[in-house]
Amino acid sequence: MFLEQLVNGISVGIIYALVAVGYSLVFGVLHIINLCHGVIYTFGAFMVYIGIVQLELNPILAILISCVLTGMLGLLVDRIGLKPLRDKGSDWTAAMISSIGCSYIITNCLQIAFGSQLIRFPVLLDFGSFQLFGATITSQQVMIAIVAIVLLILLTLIIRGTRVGLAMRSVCQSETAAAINGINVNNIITFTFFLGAASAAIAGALNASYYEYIRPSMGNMMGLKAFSAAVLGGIGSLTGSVIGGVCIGVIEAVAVYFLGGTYQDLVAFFILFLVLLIRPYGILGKKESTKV
Amino acid sequence: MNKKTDRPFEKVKNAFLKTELALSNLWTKFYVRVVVVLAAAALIFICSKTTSLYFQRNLIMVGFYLLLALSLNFIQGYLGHCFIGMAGFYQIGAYATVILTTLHSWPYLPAVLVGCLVTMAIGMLFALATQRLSGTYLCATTLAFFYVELNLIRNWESLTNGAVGIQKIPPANFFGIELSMKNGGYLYVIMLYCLIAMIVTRLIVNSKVGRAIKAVRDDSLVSTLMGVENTKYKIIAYAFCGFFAGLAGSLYGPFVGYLKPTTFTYDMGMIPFVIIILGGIATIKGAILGAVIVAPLAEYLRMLTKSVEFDWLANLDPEQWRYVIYGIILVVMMRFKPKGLLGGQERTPFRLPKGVGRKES
Repeated sequence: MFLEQLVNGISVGIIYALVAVGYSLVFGVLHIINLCHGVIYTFGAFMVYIGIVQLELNPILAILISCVLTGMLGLLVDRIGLKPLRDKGSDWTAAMISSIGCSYIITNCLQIAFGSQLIRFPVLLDFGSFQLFGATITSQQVMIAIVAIVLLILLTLIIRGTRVGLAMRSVCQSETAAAINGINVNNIITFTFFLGAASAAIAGALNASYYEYIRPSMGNMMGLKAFSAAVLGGIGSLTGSVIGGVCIGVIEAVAVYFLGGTYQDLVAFFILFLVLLIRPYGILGKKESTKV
Repeated sequence: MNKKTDRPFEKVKNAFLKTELALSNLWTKFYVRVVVVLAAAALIFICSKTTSLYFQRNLIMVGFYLLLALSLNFIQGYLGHCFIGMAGFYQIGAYATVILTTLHSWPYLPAVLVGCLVTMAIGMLFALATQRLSGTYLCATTLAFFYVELNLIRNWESLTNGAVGIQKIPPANFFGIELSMKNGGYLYVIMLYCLIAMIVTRLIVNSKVGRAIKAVRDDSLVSTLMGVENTKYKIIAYAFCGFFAGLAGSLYGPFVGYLKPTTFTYDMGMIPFVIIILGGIATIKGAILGAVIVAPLAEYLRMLTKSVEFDWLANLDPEQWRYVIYGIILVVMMRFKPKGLLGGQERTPFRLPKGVGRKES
């Protein structure tokens, strides 16, 4: 059914958006792309798995704990991998290679701990399915979309409405000016990493419960797709990430409907190529000569 | 604050710098070079004659990764692009050759040539497509390139046999000699390929083309102002990288005897990357040092776990842990020596006045 695929695409797309927001946030303050983000997402999903299956906690409590732990991991990546390089004044290549290294360490530690095969993940938010215009829509898809949208609104409120958000926005504009005005730039960067990692953890839990499995290498693909989404929407812009995520999700679903499941992964990267070639600053991004 | 964290490493750093200086002074002497080259040749000769295939196999793998690292050096070292989709070129080269030899029963050498040219063409197309990109965007695109290529090979069943892969690849026939592990043929041929790659690298880097490529790396704006066509030299660098990666791939198919889309993983493409970062970017000796350390790391770990009598060490799986160590190498090298162990030694032709010295990046 086409409509089913469309709904499917939207709910997956919102998860992409949730991960893509992490790229956008970090890009906003640091002007680098944190290639470690996909792995942080995987780590979040695994922490939820440990909480629910191995420790038998309440799912909501498990997700909250996972958020905090994954946020800590994001913070650790920043402190170990990126902050020393910032202090030294290294160029972006060094920061990027360092973040690739961090992602490599975390993926393989997860692989050592859990093995590389698929692990079953419990279904969270399932309350049966219902019919809409002849299409079967599971309540899980709707719930995922609702949870993700609530989170995105929350993130927007944090960034637009609070003092921390104000500080983040000022660091985005100019680190020096923010520091002159008494903002602790390092703390703000750390907080940004925490926020991005926590939203990735929730995205990991939602996506894992939707596909009902997790594996240590799942973050590679997700990271790249979310990156495509962030680039499509215009990296650095929150609304752009959401639009990009939903676009990628829907286009993927349409491709699966017309071409078959094997082409699902190709489509996202094809879009990435096209966007980078035609409009590298994305749908909502501002045109900058330094970016490309 | 910054100084405080660096202090414990200061002594180690000084000792390291002294050793490095001593070694590089030693290396400038001619007879040292002759001895090293002769020793390497003797090692290869002995390995090709021994009956223990374990050691020879490892040396061949070092050769493969050395060749990949040398080809990656054109992009990573001389052009300064961050390329992490190396497994893509490797796979294209392997598939192109093996499709011709196995499915269309071509002789080996023409198939190698076509395989290399196909990889080279794809490398040039990739450079052309991504000419406007730089930085992290380009890096992520190279990773996307690898996944696109992997999925294409998996889905294009009429050409590549899809997920089943290609079985029963005939052994390579090199000028009438059938290569095998027994006669040490694979070892000699891969080392020959490495030697060709080194000579070509050396010739290119010291030529006008090489200087132009390095100028694009150092400052693309200035190089444009000096009349260097950036796009052209980017494409040239990618062409060389594609050619030698294809050369490595063309021997890999017959060496292992079967090819599947899953043979070439993201991890496989990361190994040359780690080799260059560890050994030193934009140097040939750095690539050699890196390949000798990084490629057989699992074997070193196995030796270590056998020789040390800790229970918890013996239980470690070297195949898994080496990837963690690769990650640690990347982070640590970026923190302490971003140009690699042997990199950044190009001598400046004139001495700068005191206090004006170059900023270490």
